[in-house]
Amino acid sequence: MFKEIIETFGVTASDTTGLVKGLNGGIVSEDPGMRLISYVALGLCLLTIVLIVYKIIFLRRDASIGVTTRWIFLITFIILSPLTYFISFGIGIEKSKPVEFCNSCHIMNSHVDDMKDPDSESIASLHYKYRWISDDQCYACHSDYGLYGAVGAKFDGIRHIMDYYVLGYPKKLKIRDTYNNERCLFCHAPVESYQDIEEHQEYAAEIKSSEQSCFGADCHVSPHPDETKEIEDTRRTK
Amino acid sequence: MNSKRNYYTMILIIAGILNILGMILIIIPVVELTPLTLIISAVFGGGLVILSIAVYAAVVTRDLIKRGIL
Repeated sequence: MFKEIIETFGVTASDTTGLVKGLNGGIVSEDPGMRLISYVALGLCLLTIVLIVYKIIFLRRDASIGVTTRWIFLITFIILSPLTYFISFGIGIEKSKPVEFCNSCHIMNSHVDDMKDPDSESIASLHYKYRWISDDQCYACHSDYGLYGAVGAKFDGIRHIMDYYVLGYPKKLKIRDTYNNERCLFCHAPVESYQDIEEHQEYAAEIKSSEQSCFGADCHVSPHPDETKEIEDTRRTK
Repeated sequence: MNSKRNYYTMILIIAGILNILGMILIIIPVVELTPLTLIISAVFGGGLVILSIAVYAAVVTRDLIKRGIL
């Protein structure tokens, strides 16, 4: 049904995300605010490099370090460098939220392919194709709410990248810790149709504490189908 | 005395070079974002910048102690 609708409109499921194809989320970003911040980061980086290079040349000519040089070093080392780092890191975090970024690691391909499959009935696919989560679907379900949730998710992401490139990853993907049901409850708990389900009331405490998973046990189907979890490429697997 | 000053100047220059290398690594994901450039920026770029700041701080601290300020 959904497949027919999107074919009628001449778009594919992947196009409906509104994302620019490819991963180049640098200064070509479509978000004007993000583009401005990117240029600020580039400008700060360039300013830092120019000041240091200028002062290095100056120091070679004259061994004495004047007041101006001391101030310039203080500003570049203590203010400009950390500021550039945090802005750049912030841009990286923000731009690594889209599904395409997650899908750039091939071990995620099967998960994303299933999610974008209009015929799939997995929880991830349903949330994607019916736009229950409008954007950044991977990130929305795999990060906790609040400031620490976003930071925690990104540190997890950095660990994933390290595993992917350096340490190796398990052949069969599985979630590292117990899935936090708060991520589901944030949207679903206030809805009347959720509250009307007897089991949701009966096991409210267990569900809230994530002691009882939302998936399996005759409750909800798996968010990702099991058959997608097997990774074909074993070059870097543990 | 002068050679010691040159020695610390040299250390400052090394800190500056480390900082420049760190800056170059840090800015890569702003231009081209991939998982690899992101981790290089966050880990290696950040590491180089922290190292350069530590070297700079050590030189400054030593200078302040020598002047009797600290």
